[in-house]
Amino acid sequence: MFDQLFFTVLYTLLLLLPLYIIASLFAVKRKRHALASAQVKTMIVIGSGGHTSEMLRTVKHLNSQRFTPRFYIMADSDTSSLCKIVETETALKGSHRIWRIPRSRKVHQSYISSVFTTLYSFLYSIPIVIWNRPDVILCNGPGTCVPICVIGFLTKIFLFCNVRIIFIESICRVKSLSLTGKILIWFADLVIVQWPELKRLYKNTVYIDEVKL
Amino acid sequence: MSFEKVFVTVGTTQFDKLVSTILNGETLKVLKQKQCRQLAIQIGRGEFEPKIDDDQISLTFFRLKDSIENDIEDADLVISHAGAGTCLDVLEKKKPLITVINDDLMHNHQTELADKLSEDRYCVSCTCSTLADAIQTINPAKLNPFTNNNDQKCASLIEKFIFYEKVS
Repeated sequence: MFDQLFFTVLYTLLLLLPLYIIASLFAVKRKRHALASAQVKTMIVIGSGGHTSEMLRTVKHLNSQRFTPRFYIMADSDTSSLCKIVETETALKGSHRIWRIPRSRKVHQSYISSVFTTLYSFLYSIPIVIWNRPDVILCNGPGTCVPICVIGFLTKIFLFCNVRIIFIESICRVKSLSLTGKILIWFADLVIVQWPELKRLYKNTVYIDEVKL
Repeated sequence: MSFEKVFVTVGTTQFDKLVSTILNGETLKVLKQKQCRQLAIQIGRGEFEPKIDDDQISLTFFRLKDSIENDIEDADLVISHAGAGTCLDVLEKKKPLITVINDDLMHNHQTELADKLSEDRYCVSCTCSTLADAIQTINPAKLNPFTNNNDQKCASLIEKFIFYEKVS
C-alpha cells in the first residue's frame, strides 16, 4: 500500500503536474476528429496477472481487422503474460509485435534505486511510442502503464499525434477508482468503468452499459 | 438442495481460519445434512493442514495449482475467500457460491467486488462465524444468474469511440 502511494506521489509531483500545465498552455484540448481510416494502429499495455487476463479478454472481442497492427508493451520479466499474448494472437491471426520493456520496480527493491529504474523504463519507452505512432493506446493498470500514457499524451502536444488514450478500470473496482485510474483520468480520452457506482462518483468516466450492443 | 461435492478455496494467501472452520463439528454437521460426500480444499500458503476422521465425507486438499477451473467445474457448491478473480470464475461457471470475508483483513479492495456481488444477490456472503448458517440456508434457486459480457461491451464501446467519436 505504501509503495503504491509513494509512486503516485512521485509520478504526480515529478512528471504529471508540470506536464499538465504545459499541456493546458498548448491548448491540447482542440477539437478531435473521428478517425476516418479503416484501420488503427493499436498499442496495448499489458499489466500483470489479473490485469493481463482482463485486457486480453477485451482484445479478443475487438474487430481484429480494424484494430491492426497491434503492439503489445509488457515488462520483460513477465513470462506468463507473454504466453497469454501469444495464445490470444494465435486465435486472432493478425499482425502484431511484442515490445518488452525493463520493469520499473522489482519486488523488494529499495525506493531510492526504484526512482532510477522507473526513469530508465520511462526513457526506454519513449522511442517505442514515438517510432510506432499508435492511433490508440489501451491500458488497464497497474501503475506501470502510466509512463506509456504520459508519453502518448506528450506526443499529442509536441508531435501533434492524433492518439486516443483509453483506460479500462478493472471490474474489481466498485467503490473507487484505482490509483492508476485516478491519475489517468487527467490524461486519457476515455476512462471506462464497469459499475454504475463509479460513474456516479467520477463524472468524466463512461459506464460500460451506456453502450448498446 | 444437496451438495455432494464441495470445493473450498482460499486463493494464493493464507486463510487458516476458514480451513479450520470448515472442519469444525458444527460445519461438518451441516455439510452432512446437505449430503456432502467429497470435500476438496485448496489451502494456499496456510499452515494448518486439514485432517478428517469421518466415514461419510472424504477429504482431499492441495496448496496451489496452475488452474482450479476443473475443481470449480466438479463442485456442487464452492466456498471461497473474497478474492475477485475466484468469485468471477465461480459465477461464470454457474456454481452456487459462498464468499467468506476474512475479518482479520480490513480495507482490502479485493473484497469490494465480493461485497457488491452478494449485495446484488449473485452469491451469499458470510464470515467464518456464520459459515455453517450460510451453508444451511443458501438456496441456489433464489440467487440471481450472473452473466458477464463486459469484455464484449467494452470492446464495442472502444470501437464506437474510435470510429464514430461517440459512446452511446
